[in-house]
Amino acid sequence: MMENIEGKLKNLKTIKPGNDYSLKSLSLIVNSPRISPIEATSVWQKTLTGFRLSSGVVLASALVLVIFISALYLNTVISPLFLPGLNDKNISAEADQINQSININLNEIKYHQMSQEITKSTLESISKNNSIANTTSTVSSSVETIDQLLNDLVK
Amino acid sequence: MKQRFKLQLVTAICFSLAISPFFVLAATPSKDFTNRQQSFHKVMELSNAEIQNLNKSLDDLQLDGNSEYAQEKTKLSEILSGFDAYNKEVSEKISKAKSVASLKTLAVEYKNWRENTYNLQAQIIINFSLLVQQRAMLDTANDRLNKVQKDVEKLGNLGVDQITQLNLLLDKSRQNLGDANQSFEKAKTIIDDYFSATSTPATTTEEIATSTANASSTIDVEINEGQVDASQLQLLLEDGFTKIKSAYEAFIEMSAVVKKL
Repeated sequence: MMENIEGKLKNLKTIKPGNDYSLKSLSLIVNSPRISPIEATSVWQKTLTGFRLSSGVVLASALVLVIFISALYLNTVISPLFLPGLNDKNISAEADQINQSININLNEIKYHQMSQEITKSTLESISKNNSIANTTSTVSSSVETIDQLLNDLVK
Repeated sequence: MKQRFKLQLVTAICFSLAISPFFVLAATPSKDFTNRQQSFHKVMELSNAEIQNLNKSLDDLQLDGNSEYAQEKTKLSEILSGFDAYNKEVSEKISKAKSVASLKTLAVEYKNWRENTYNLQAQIIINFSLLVQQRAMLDTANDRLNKVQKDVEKLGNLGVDQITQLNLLLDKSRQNLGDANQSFEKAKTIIDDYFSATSTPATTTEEIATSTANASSTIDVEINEGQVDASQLQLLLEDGFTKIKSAYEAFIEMSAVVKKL
């Protein structure tokens, strides 16, 4: 029994396909279409291609928009009616600021002149020989005037 | 004898009662003294407010460490600190004064100090502050003039009807700014000359504060070295401000003309 099995196995080693079958199979294998590894991930590729396409569209749109805006801006700047120096709002704001600052400065000069005059006359009345009336009320009212001027300065 | 003693006693009581008001009057300060003292305190209040205001003017100037006049600003602030210390000293003396005569002497001393030292220095500080501010304003105004000039040229090329009117207004503003620049330069020369004449270290706070008469004489020397016509300086600066204002009036008029195009 064992000898039979061994004999059969040895015979199996020598088994070969028929010549016709070998030629047919070989030509079938050689002629079959080859599948590349990239084609294996075709779903990913499709997605990627779709994304590239959409981002390309977005970029192109953005570029068109930038060109459009630049053209508008350049048109405004180069336009003969673009007058930044004579812009109504800019000039008014600047003039207001300068006028306010000048008025404060001129008020400051007035304040010091007035204060110096009051101080001088009060000191003279304090140092004179004949007795003086109560001048504090006069000085106070002058101080109030000066305070008013000071308030105007900070307005 | 008893009657005589009684009479003497009654006379003594009546006499003491009669003269007691005079003692009371002598002990309380006279109305004249109180008036003088109160007025003097008011003067000091006023003077302190002036110094505070001058300090604020200097603090408001935007001068960083490296810019022109930064050193001068520091020196002027130091001088003001000295004035402040001196004022405090005088205020204390007023409070401690016992007689009208001492108040009178102090008032004369303080008045002389103000006239010979303080007033001129205060005017220097005011004018210095005005000069620095005017320089910034002139920079802005000159920039504006350049921009407006370009705009008017542009409108001239376009051949707008109002170009003659615009050119007249442009000339007016150019003239005003030219005058303002000139006034500024003259004022700047006066201030610069003053500072270069007084470039020796400024009088220290201690020197001014520790003594009254001596302190004023120390600053007097400094001021006499750098004689300055403060009123002329002030007139030049006021003229500069007026001219800048006029230039802007012309700019606004031009802007209104252009708005109607």
